[in-house]
This record gives sequence, C-alpha cells and structure tokens, in this order.
Amino acid sequence: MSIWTKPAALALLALAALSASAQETVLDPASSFKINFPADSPVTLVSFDLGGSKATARGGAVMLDLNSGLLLRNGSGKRIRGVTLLVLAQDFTPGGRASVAVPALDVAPGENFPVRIDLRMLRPLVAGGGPLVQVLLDGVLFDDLSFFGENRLNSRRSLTIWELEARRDRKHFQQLLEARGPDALQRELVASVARLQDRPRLDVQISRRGTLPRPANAPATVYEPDRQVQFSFLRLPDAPIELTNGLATVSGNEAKAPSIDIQNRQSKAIRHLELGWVVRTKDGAEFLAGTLPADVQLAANGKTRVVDEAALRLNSRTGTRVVIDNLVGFAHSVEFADGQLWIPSRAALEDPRLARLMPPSPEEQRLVELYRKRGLKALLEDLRK
Amino acid sequence: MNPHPELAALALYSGRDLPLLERWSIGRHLATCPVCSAEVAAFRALSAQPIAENFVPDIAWKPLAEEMRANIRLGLEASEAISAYRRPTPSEERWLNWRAAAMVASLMAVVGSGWWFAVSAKKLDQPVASVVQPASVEATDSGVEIKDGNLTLELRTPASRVSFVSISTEGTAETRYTDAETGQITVNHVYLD
Repeated sequence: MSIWTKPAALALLALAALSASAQETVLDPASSFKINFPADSPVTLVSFDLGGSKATARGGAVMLDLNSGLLLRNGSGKRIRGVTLLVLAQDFTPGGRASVAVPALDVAPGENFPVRIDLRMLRPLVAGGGPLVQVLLDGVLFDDLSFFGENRLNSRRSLTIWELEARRDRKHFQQLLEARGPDALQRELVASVARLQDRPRLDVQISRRGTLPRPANAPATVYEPDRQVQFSFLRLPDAPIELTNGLATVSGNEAKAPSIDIQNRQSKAIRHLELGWVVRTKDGAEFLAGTLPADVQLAANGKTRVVDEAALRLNSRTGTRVVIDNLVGFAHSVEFADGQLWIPSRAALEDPRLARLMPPSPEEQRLVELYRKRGLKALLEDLRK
Repeated sequence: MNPHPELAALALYSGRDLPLLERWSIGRHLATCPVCSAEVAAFRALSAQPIAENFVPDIAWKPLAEEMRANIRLGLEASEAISAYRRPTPSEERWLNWRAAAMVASLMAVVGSGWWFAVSAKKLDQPVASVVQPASVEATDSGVEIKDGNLTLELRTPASRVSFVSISTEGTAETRYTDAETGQITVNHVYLD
C-alpha cells in the first residue's frame, strides 16, 4: 500500500514552496525611511542615497538594514559647528530612539556637508502604513554658539560642550605651534595617536532598572555576591565642584546604584552636572566606563547627593573575564544656572592618569586623523584657518 | 590546627549534605577556624538568596518544542511506512519516484521549519522564551544598540574605524568614530528613555 498518493505529494511540495516564500518578502527601503525637517530649518536636504539598503519582512518580523548617505546644505547665514539628527522608529517603545550627531564641523553658508546613517532595526510586523524610520532635526549649533532646533535630546548642551572642547584644543595646538614650532606639534600629535591606540577597550552595557539582561552564554553556576565599593576621586584643580564621598554596589563585572556626594565650590548655582565614572579591574587596568549625568538644583556653595538606580556591565573584547575592583569618579562637565558651561582645562587634562583615561575631544580626534591621513602640512593649514 | 577542608566539603557541610562523621569532623574544625567558618557562612547566605527571574537560562523553548513535535511526527510516519512496506507491483513502481520526491519534500519542510524557528528566530533576536528581559543599551566596537523585548535598534560603526564607546547612567550608549571618506566625526547614540 502506498503511504502517499500523488496529490498528497504535490500538496506537500506546494506547501513547502509557499512556506519558503512566506519567510522573506523584500520591501521598498525608500518608503520605509522618511526625512522630516521643519519648514524654517537652517539645514536642508540636498539629496540622499540609500546604497545597499534593504527592508525585509520575515516571519512575524520586519528587518530594516539602512545604509544611507544624506547630503545637507547650510541654508543659514552663519557657519555651522555641529548638527544632531533624531532617528525615530515607528511605534518603538516609549523613549526608544537614536541620534546621529556630527560635531567639529565648519560649514560656511551655502555649503553642503554629508551625514551617514547606518541603521539596523528589527521589530514585529504590525498593520498600518507610514515609514518605519523617521529622521528629524534635533539641533544645529552655529559659530556664535546660537542654537536652532527642538532640543528633544539636549543637543544644545552636548553640541556646545563639543564646541567648547574644540576651541580649547585648537587654541592649545595653535599656541604650541607658535611657541615651539611644527616639530613640537608633530610630537604632540604622535603622542596623541599612541594614546588612542593604547587605550584599553571594553564593551559597555547599561540598564536603567538596575538589572541587566543575563547573557546567553553566562554559566549558571557563577554567582558573585554584591559588595559595597567606596569611590575614590580624581581632583581637577579648576573644577567648580568637589566630589566628597561615593558608594556603588559591585558584583563581578557589574556596578550599580552609584551614589555620590557633591559640594559646589562656586558662588553660582548649578543646574546640571556630569561625572566621569572610571572602573579599575582586579588586574590593575583602568577604563573610563561612562558618565553619570544629573539634573540638580545645587545652590552656590551648597551640597547635594547624586543617586542613580542604573546598572552597568563591562565585557572584555578579548573574552577574558572582567572583575571590577575599584571605582573612581571625577567632574566631567558642569552647567550653571545662568547657562554657562564648565569643562576641564587642557592643563588639567595633561595629568598623565586623566590623559590616559579621557578620550580626545571630537576636534582633537579629527585633527589627529587629518595628520595621519594627509600629513603635517594639511594639519598646519587647518590650524591656521 | 588541622588542614582546611576542601571547599566542596564546606559547601556540602553548609547544605547539611555530608555524612555524620565528616560533618562532625568539619564542625570541630570550624569551631577553631574563622576562615572556613566565613566560607560556610558565605555558602549559607548564597543558598538563602532567592533565584532571580533572570537566572533562567536563555533557551528558546517554543521553537525547541515545535522541532521536537515535528521530529516525533516524522518518526511515527516513518515507522508506519516501514511496517506497511511490501514489494511494489510494476504499476506501483511508476509512482516510486513521486513517493521519494514527497518524502524529500516533507523532510525539507520539517528541516526548513526547524531552521526557521530555531536559527532564523534566534538570529532575529526575538525573545521567544517567556523570561522578560529588562531593556538595556549597549555600546561596542560595532555600534550602539537598544534592545527592548522583541524590538532592536542599532546604529552601526563602519568596520575597522577607531571608535570610542561610552554609556551614561541616564540610559544612553554612545560610539564615536571618524568617517574614512570625509574625515568627519560622527557620534551615534541610542536612548532608553
């Protein structure tokens, strides 16, 4: 007796073919992506290129793989120093969003400049039209430090800090060039390149709720009990705040719930501050893991405590196990109630420990890359602008 | 003082899992050894802690169950086919190739479904297990990523670019790199809330 008849076999084959075709449907990436700038925007879209972008519906999910190059024009009468674009995924979780910022720019009125967005998104397939991803303008900073934009991501503060750092570092390199000539500048840049290459590198992960997702490959038998670790502090002589005491809970490669006491040393009130968070591991390596920002109402010469519930995890890129031994904090930036900003001086950053820990400013990173790619002559031309 | 007992023996002692004689012997040692007493206390504290929800290993149970059911069905049908087998008549032999094709097709369907559920779903990072993972953001050499349930959003850093990664406790991950073509600096962020 035959177990399958011919029609049954044909039906099976058809079913298999149908199932295979249902798994992957190619969508139009252009209709999945929308750029939406306000009518009075000082930045306008000249063109955009979606290169090898693709949007695919697979099973119950849709995957967008976007490799886009935007060409924007400065339509204002002022030079642009930085731009932040807000990337919003349709129906994404409340607050789930991304941004692409381009600091250390110098775009004259009428000039064009490119911005790259390389994005990958996976989300359930839901009914309803509209683009999967929208790109909005969050902010533009001009050379006179004026700002345009909705500022939903506090772009004004971050773009201004990057611009202040750029001015500080350009001034430092220009003074070095004037005082000690191109050879001294070259030595300084070579040292900067070496620092970039020698910086220890870790992957970092953070959760706001104090619990991090368990990694898929984590052995179930490893359990490290929580312990309280006291912060030590790097003191910057020109910092307007002093960090006096601090605690966090540490377990293996995770640190959570930092709490730091702060004293305002100035006769001006402070509304926002950002502390640098350095982690020292059991084998003696130190990493700048991240920052601890806080909106505060800190009166002149007053005290406050910054407390956060977040949990942070460090993972080595070489696969070796990271065990946190100690925590170090320092003042990273301060915004006073009158809107003025403080950043560490170049002299403070000359401290060997801080120089090793702190990444270069975006402008120093750009100048170092310019020197590496196009040599000293191109760098000197840039610094003389 | 007697040499310290093995750590495993102390762990068993803390859980009252040792034979009476060994238990008595270690008990005597603990009476005079603060180091081993501290180990035993640590083991007891550890065993007293509730097992956190997120300690459940990250296994995609649903696809596994689907795959197992499909394999069982295939096994039953193969068994039925073998028990009912007899030499085909010449007229039936004409359909043999069709039967073989059907077998291959159904096998492919089973393997394909298994792949789709087990591999493709894993690749898509859809949490098919019932464990609710907390939302988190991550900054690595390859970019910044936010994961919340079965939604993933990633801004990628082009390969082989020097990048700086950082996070902030307000739920932001940052990566900064130099564009190879333009020399411009690009800073990518993802935000939790």
